[in-house]
Amino acid sequence: MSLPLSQLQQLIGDLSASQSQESDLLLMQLDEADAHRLRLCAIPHAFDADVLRALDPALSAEETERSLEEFQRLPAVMELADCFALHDVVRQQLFAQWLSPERREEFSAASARLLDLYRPQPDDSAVEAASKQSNRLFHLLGADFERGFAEFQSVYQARRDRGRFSDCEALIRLLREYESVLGSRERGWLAYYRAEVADDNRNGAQALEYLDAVLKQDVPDDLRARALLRSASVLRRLGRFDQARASCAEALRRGAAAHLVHHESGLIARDNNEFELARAELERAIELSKAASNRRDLVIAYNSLGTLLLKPAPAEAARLFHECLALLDPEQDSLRIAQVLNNLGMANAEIREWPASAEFFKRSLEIKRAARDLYGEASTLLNVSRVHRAEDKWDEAKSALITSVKLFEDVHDATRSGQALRELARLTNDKGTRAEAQLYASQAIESFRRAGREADAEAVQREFRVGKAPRSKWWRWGLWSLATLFFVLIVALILIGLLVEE
Amino acid sequence: MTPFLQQRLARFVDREAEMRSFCSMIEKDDWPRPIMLVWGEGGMGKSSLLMRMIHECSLREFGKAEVFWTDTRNHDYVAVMRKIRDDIGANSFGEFTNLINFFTVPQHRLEVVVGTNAPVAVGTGAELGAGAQVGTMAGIVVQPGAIVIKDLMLNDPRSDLAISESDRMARLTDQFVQELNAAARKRKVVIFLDAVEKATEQTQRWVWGELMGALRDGRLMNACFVIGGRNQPAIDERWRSLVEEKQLGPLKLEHIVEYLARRGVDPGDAARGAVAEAILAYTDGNPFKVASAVEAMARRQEQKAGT
Repeated sequence: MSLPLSQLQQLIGDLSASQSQESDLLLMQLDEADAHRLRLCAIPHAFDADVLRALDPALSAEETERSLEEFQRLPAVMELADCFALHDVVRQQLFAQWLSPERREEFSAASARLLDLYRPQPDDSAVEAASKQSNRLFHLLGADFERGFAEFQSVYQARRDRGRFSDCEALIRLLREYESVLGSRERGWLAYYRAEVADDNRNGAQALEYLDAVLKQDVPDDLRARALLRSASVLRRLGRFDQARASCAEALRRGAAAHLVHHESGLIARDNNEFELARAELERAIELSKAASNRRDLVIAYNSLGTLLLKPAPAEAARLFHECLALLDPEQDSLRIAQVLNNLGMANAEIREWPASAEFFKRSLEIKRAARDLYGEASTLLNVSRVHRAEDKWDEAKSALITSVKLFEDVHDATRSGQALRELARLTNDKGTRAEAQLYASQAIESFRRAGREADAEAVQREFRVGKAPRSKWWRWGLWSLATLFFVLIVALILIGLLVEE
Repeated sequence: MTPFLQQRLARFVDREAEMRSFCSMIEKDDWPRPIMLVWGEGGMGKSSLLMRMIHECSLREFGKAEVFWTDTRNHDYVAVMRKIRDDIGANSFGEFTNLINFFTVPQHRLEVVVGTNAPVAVGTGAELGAGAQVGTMAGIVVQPGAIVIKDLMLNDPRSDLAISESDRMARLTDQFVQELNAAARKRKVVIFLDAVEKATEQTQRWVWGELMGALRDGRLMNACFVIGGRNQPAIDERWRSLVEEKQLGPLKLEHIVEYLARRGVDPGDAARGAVAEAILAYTDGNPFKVASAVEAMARRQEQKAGT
């Protein structure tokens, strides 16, 4: 047998009983010291000279360089732009070994040494600071799990509050690397966070799976209450109203904030077309939010009730939106202010207070223009055009619609540009020429087709008889009928006269 | 390129079909499929193949950008655009950078100029009459590209702007695509996205919906994408005509024989076949395992030669 073949067979034999052949094969190629250093390099997600020296403080600069050169030769070590990383398969095997009880002490000590490397510096950009924070959090979990988990929860919530949902998903992936050593309380929270992320990603079914997993575990009451309330919200959006209601009731029993439960109950009733119940629940939510002095939740409750009452009781809706506006802070709540102003515009349009409606839409437009929110601007202009129409300001209505169309096209929303073009067609059909109306109708059809909205395109085609001869106006038919009848009458009278003479 | 990377490239085997498709994609102006998806389980050599492709782009002096996700380098859509911008040349993306600053820097106004990278001339060629006095000279003549707008590298959206996250995303992407398209008109751009399965779902949706959407809708020309991932992507029917999918499979015996030679492991003519077959049996042709096994053999050989 040749030497290489016997060497290979010996190698394979040595690894045959291993559950982690890839990492074992890798470590076999190094001397003991380097093998241990490479094993340490599996604790962080990437490494360089600084990381290696933090992991093994006894290393000199020359030894560090030498070790790194040795590692670079290995197929399992990948060179990134500014550091190295172990191949995923190898790192996962080694990291799992680090979480075993016999290695925990050494692992914690190594993780603690890494913390200093990721301490934020004053001249770090926000991007660098965020990256360091994630790394630091990961190693804090390794160094001191309880402290690390508390900080994880705080950082996760802070990122959620700033609307950085993608970051939240990334943080959860880091926590999941420690899943094998999580206690039941932490598992419960992990499942809850995964549910939140699934919900952020509009995956209601998956969110419910995770929430069910939380509820099946022995978790503290506050977490159970949160999971129940979140379940209610997801179930509502999936149209499962009875289950949503049951979840709300259970959430209340478990100590969830009453104003939040009543708010969610109001939304369930609203979505289930139970107007009176929705109104009662949302009114209760407002009372309780005031009692709890919770500004943010009170704003949401006012807006929800106002939106519910927009058509049936627009004057009342307008009052609620005014209350909402009074609570909002221009420094923090610009988006919400623009939305409420838009709602006030619609409420005033419903009660035919056209000047007030136009004024609110104008204020909403100013905010959206300042924010370079083209889509928001386009939507508001659509509403503005309706007000102008009601005030018989045809040129202003047309101008608003034309701008709206252009903006929707700039943001590549063919559906909405189709809707705006349809309104233009209707406007010019009443106040312009048929040719102009036909032109806009054709453009609306083309826009809807681009958006894949064939039914809408056909509806426009039918409404404006695009491609067909114009229908005669009804009064022409009436005149013709009368003229014919008159002629028949005259002929009949003449004939009767002739008969009588005979 | 480091010597170790050069060495790895030199040892690269197989994947001729994938490289041929890639070269067609980047060379032919009328190539109908500007998106290449390379996928396969861990160890199948996706990153190595992408490295090979990146090298091809360098040889042809194409514009290229590389975005690689890791567990702690979790690029969101803004970070992806920033990375592509910086790889291709930030000077081509002034408006985009300005817009990011507008959306993230409190009280930022779009007309802020932060720095220059070329001389600015004031009153060049002006002639003054006898006894004339100059108070203030206005009207600066600036060469194209002289104004440089620096990204302040903030992440959090401003709270005083009334724009939703989805609209902010759409605006930024739109501006970015416009300037990327302008840059691609000057020279072909190839964008590499590796380990995309590590990106968050929101980012993955953005990649397909917004970034690739621009390619599909004809708003981005003369640009190609190579996407590496572990999982077979679920490709919408609308994308089929634009995408070339390459699933990486295991190496065959002849590739292992070739790899042995390139790695400098010579079992001799008599044993070569048997060694390669033993490696194939042990590794199932998984390129990473093959490389690791051969490396281990090579080191043992070197150690024995040394003693």
